Order: sequence, then C-alpha cells, then structure tokens
Amino acid sequence: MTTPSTNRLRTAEQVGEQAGAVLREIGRAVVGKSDALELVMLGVLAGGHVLVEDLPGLGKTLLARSFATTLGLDFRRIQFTPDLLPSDVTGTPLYDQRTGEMVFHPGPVFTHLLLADEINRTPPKTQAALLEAMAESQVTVDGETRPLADPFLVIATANPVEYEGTYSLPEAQLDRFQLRVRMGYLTAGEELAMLRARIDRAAPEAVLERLAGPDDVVAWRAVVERVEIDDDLLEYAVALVGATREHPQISIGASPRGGLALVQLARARAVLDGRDYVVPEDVKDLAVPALAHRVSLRPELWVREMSTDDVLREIVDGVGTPTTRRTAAVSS
Amino acid sequence: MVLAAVVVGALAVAALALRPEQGLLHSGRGPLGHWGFVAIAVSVVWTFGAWTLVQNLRHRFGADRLSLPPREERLREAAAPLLLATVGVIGVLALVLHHFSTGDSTSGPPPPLAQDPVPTPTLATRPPEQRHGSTDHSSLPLYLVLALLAAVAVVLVVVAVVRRLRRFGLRVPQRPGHAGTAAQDDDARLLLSAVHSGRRALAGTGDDARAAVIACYAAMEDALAASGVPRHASDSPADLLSRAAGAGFAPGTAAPRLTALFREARYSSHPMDASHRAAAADALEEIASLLGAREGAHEGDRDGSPDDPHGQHDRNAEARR
Repeated sequence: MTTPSTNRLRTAEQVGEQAGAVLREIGRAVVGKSDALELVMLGVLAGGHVLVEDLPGLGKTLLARSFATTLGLDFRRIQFTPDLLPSDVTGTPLYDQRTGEMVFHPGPVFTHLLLADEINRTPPKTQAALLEAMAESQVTVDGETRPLADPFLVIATANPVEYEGTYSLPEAQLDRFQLRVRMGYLTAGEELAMLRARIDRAAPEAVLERLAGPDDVVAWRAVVERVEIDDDLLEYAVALVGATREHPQISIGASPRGGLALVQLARARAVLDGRDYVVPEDVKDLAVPALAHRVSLRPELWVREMSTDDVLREIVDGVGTPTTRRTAAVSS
Repeated sequence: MVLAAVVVGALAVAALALRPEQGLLHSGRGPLGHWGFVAIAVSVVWTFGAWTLVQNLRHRFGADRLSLPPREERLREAAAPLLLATVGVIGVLALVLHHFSTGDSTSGPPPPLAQDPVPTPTLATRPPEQRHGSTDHSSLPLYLVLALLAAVAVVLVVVAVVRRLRRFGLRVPQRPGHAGTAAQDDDARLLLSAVHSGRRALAGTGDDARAAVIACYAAMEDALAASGVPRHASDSPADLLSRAAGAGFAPGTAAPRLTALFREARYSSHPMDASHRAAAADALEEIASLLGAREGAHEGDRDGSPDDPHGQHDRNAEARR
C-alpha cells in the first residue's frame, strides 16, 4: 500500500507525521522501547543498516518484523549458524534440466528488509557475503552483479555476551552499520504493561497495520536528502569524530564513514522531528549510536569493563557545540 | 613529584626537630629543644602548608591524568593517598616524639650515660631533677599535646566532610536570614538586567530579524548565566533549557518558544521576518515579566521579615525600567 502522496514532493513535516504514525503503530507491539524504535526508524530514513545488540529475549526479532509489517516491506529472515554458506545468503545458480541452462535462484538477501538474526554466529566468510550487499546494495554471483531491491535495509542482531561458538564481527563489517541500537530491559511498569497487553489481546503478538510501502520509504529518503545542515554543525560533527581518534583510551577511532553516518542520521532525525534543518541536538544525541560501534578501546580497558558507549559519552560531553552567534552572516 | 618533594621536606623538618644525638631511637631534644612551642608550630604549619599546597597544585596537574597509561595511572592512584598520609604522620610524629624542655640546662648536649663508675662532684651536687635533664615534670603536659592533636584532627575531619559534600553537589546548610535573601535579590536583579540588555539588542538590530531573534536568545543565555545556570561549551540549546528548567529559571512556555525560534534563526536558511522578531520579543517580554513577578514575590516575603533592607524597592523599580 502506498499513500496517495507518494509521487508528489513531500515536506519534512509531512514525513515526520507519517514516520511518527508508523512508530506509534509499532509501539503497540514493541512496548516501552520508544528510543530503540526511533533509532531504527532513523536508520530507515537515512538509508543505513542497523545493528541491534543486546541480550536474548528483549524483542530484537519482534522489532524487525514489526518494522517490515508496518512499512509494508518484503521481509526475509536469515538465522545465522556456523554452517551457513555464502550462497545461502546471496543465492546460487542451479542447473535447469528442462532448459539446460544455469538459472540463478536468488537468496534471502533479495528483499527489502533482511533480518540477519545472530549475525555473529556465522563464520567470517558468510559475514563477508553480506558485506557487499550492505555496502553497495548489490551481490556478485558467478561474476555477475545483481542489484538488490530499493529500499534495502539490514537489521542485524547480535548477542554481546555469549562468546562460545561465535565469530566477532570485524571492524570493517561493523563500520557498514550506520548505527548500533541497544534495547535494554524494560522498567517494572513497562513490563507490567507488556504483560497486561498480552493478556488483553489473547494472542502471542499484536497484529499491526500496514501504514506505508516501499515507495513511501524511498520518498522519505529523498526528503532527508534535502535537509540542510549548517557549516558550524558539520564542523561539530568533524570535531566529534576527530576526538575519537585522539582519545587516549581509544586505539582505533571512527572512520570518515562514521562522520558521514552521523550527519545523515542527524538529517533523518530532523525529518522525524518535522524540520528541514539540523540542530545541535540532532548531532549530539546521535553521536553515541552512530560512532560507538566504530571505535576500538585499548585492550587494558577491557578488564575495567568499560564500554565504547561510556567513552563516547565522555567525548560528547567534552566537545563544544557551535556558539550561539553565527560565524557567517546569513541574510534574512 | 610535588608530593614526593613535600614528603622529603617533611622528613627534613622532622630531622631538624628530632635530631637524636645518642642513637637513632633516643628521644633527644635537637636544636629546637629550648622552644617546644616552636617545634609544635613548625610541625603543624608544615602539615597544613603541605596539605594546602597539594590541594592547590592538584587542579593544575589534574589535566595530565588522562594521558597517563593505565599502569602508571594505577600507581599514581596508590601512591597519592599514601604520600598524603605520610605528610600528616610525619607532622604528628614530630610532635609526639619531640622531647620538650624548658630548663636552661637543656641547651647543651645531654651528659654521657654513666661510663665512669665514680660519680663526678658536679653530678653529685646537682639536684636529682636536674640530673635527668628534660624530665617528665619539665615537659609540656601530655594532655596539652593530646588536646592540640585532637583539635587538629577535628578541623581536618570537618574540612574533609565539607569538601566531600560540595564535590557531590550537596549544599552546606546556610544560616537563615538576611544573607540568603540578599543573594536571591541580586540574582533576580542580574536576571532582569540581562533581559533588559536583550531588549536593547533587539532594538539595535534594525531590520535584521534573524539577528534580532539570536540576540533575544543570547540575552536569555546571559540571564541564565547571571542566575547561576551558565551555558557549558558542550551544551546544546536543549541541554541549557533542561538545566534552566530544573533550576526553576525557565518557567512557562516562553523559554522553549524562544529556544525554538533561535534554532530556526541560527541553523536554518529559512527567511525570517517581522513575525519571528515579534515572537522572540514577546517571549523575552514574558520571561521578563515572570522574573519580575518572581522578584516581587521575594520582595513581599522580605517585607514580612523584620530585617527588611532599605532601598530594595527602589532597586527593583530601577531594574524593571
């Protein structure tokens, strides 16, 4: 289903209202996770991929499925296991006895929204097969490059605690994710509300309504591309990224791709808020989810159980935001 | 480095005060033996001086801590309190171990212990109490030393507790009365002054609506800074607004409205016209009237109090102008 206004130019305010409605609908199924839902929606708007990292049972899979349903996107799920092969992700050519030709059978990656469940349970070779798809929205099989659907979004989940039988995602692949989301536990009140909602609906999961379609998502992303950002805010983003490279507790700082992701997510947040311009809050609030998974701490900090989120928060609190007065004059 | 230098200095002072001449464990008098109070004063002053110096220099060298490797950081964390404690212990030991005396016979070195089995006529003719040099009855009373040590300990504990309370953001209770009210009045006066300066800036921006909106917001920032909620370098407008609201300085909707106008004026290329300028001016006026009402309420409270300062009403009226 596509809204009637798909083909005409939309404003940031309209997109913000539509995306807000989608979030409210998903909130009926995923209770008490408004921050995580908003971050995933920012990934949808910004055209990036999302890594959801947290303990089992916190609703990661439900979240991905709810987005697919409400946004009206084709949805495939890959349960990553140690014996999964790259061809199980991308697809493989098979011999057709009737025609006598090799026919390509597309893998689950040929979809709009791909849930890569427990991505760190598969060997690096299979992880790398997903790499090209995430970075370039295309796969190459038998020397032939095939484009993926538009929009194409990967929501990958990873369990950060279990190390037995897992393969840590390499930095290069982590860098492909535009942001990392942590779900976290519900508060007592939220958990009570979730249990009450489950009893009231007398069904395992809430049935969500489809509120948009693939064309809507593409149109939303076009609106994000028109959001303006002041030079001072770009300098602020560069300062944040630069601070990760100079921090004494970080061995590998954020890449330039991290700066691009931060700015694009800030623009998406502006649209979600109904604005067509970025404000400092957009950049500051997204620095941790956009950059924390792209940096590596010094090994001696592992024993202190410090997380990259903690160090990034320290950096955000130390980097100055743009001054009140504009540095370059802008006419009224 | 500073702590190490302080400890070495403390050792030197202690050696000066305690210098034994008859063995390491002998409680000799040393060159200050004539003036026990000087030894006490030197020890106490040294301890406090060292403590003050360390506290002052800690802020200066604190910036280098982040750059230390973790191993050296752990070493520093272990050594710093140890050295600090050493400074205090040395001062106390200098007091406890000093051999106080008041007699004139204490100026010379103590006589050698009985090496000669035949007592010399000089020793034999001396009264028993003089033979022992600085004996118990000629020393400062023990209770005086203990009282002095107890007083020092109490002062140190009080200072440490107050500093810890302030570090955790807790306020030390203040005496009720005129002082607190006067400080609040000064805050309100500064707030109003900043708002009025914003009005003047608004009038001075001419036809530039964008500059006028930004000037209004800057005036609000100045007002908040004057009231003790300054903008930190890493603050976003939302951070500042949140802290101001938490401190009770952003009542109503005026401050959020002005902040939203500022964001648009500062970070967008939207055309700004007279309506934006008027909205910013209205928000600033609303903030001014709220602050004025707040000050009026303080004044009313003060009128009910017996120690109402003269001329405060005139000051408020002047601020409102």
